Amino acid sequence: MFAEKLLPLISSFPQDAEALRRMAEYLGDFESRRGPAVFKIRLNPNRLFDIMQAGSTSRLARLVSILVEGEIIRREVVVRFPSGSGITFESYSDLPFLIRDPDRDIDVRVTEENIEASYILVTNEVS
Amino acid sequence: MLSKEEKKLSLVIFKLLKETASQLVVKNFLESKRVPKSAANWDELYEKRILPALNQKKFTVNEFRQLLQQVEEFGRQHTFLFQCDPARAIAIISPTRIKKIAQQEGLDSLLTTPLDLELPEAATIVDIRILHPDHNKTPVSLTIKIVETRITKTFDSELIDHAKGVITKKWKFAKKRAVNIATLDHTGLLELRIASQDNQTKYTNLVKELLIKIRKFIPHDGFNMISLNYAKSRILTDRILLADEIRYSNSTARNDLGAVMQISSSSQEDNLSSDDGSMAALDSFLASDGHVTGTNVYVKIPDTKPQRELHLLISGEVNEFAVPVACSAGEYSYVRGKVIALNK
Repeated sequence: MFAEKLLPLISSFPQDAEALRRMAEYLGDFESRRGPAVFKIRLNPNRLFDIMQAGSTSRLARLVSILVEGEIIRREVVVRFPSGSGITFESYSDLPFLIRDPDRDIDVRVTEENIEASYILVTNEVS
Repeated sequence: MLSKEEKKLSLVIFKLLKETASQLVVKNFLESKRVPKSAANWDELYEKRILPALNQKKFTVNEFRQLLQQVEEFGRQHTFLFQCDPARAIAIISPTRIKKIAQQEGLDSLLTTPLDLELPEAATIVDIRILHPDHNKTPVSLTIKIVETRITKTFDSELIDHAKGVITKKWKFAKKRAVNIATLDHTGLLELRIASQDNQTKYTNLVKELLIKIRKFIPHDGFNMISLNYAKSRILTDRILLADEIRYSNSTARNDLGAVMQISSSSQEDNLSSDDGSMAALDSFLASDGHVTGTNVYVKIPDTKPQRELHLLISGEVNEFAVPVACSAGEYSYVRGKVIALNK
């Protein structure tokens, strides 16, 4: 399903078609193996870099922009705690100055060190 | 006898060595030059051993500088790997081209005499080296060294003003010399080695700044980042084959649903790979769309007694690894070679 959603983008961006095709193949393969778990896919920029073999950060930025504008993926921001768990926010502007680390039950300052971008698939369900 | 200028230079080099190396490293160097090495402290080492030996031409100021280069250019760094086409690399490192650019930038003197700066006000190119052992062939590599001053802060004290309801925290800061290296070899491998930071883990801005600093000599277009994803995975999946070469400390993995798994040995001295249960859990996680995102291991340096192990981190950016401890050029080269070999 998601793999097909990429087909128009592959046609529209011939310069990036190969990388977008890799993304489509990845999604198609994941969905065929794991079915509805595909809706829960959450990828960080490094993983997207590897899946699409972006080559450079500028090209990755362009590819991500195509996928976001094409409503394939949506960016969220995760504040990551030392345990590995995290709390998700819709955007950077939503980030608080301090956040409670639920695993350690302490307040933690939100800094560049503990935030990361995270990409989820855009689904059409009513939220 | 050293000239006044040479003496001044030797003192600058000595001060930089004092900041970077242990006395043992300097004493080993003196021993290799058949110079007596006993000294009660650093100052005595310079006054009674190094300076007289330089005056007696037992070694040259240039050889003394080479010691500094070896000590400060390897280890305690984060490395970022890029690749371009070999033909492009050979064109970039052409001595004629580099000399021309160096002249245009007013840096041509660095091709023969590096600058020995302690704490420059701004990041400064201090050395440009073209390794060209056989002049009938293309050069092997181009190395550019950049020195910058960083500020490191350490917590000092806090003052609680109960009346105002204010806590004021105070940090002390110190200036610290940081050495960054860019090396492009004729195969197209570009390696940026950035001095480890004391208080931050992200190097994105430092990488950008270094690329900007060297862009006249090494324009960045045509270079791709080398993803070390395969090496990260292979270090773990091939752990039985690598048992004699690598000791495992901790690993982080993430699956495509965003779940994170972290496994650490009981202490840095232990070997996680001998813990079957932990490894089975990690294998199972990786088998279901999991990927290693960070690995923290110790690489065993061959032919060393007692066995020397070098700490290696592969995490952060896709093309990043780090050797966070001091090491020799040879040891660094071995570890980098291991990372690249595992990535194939």
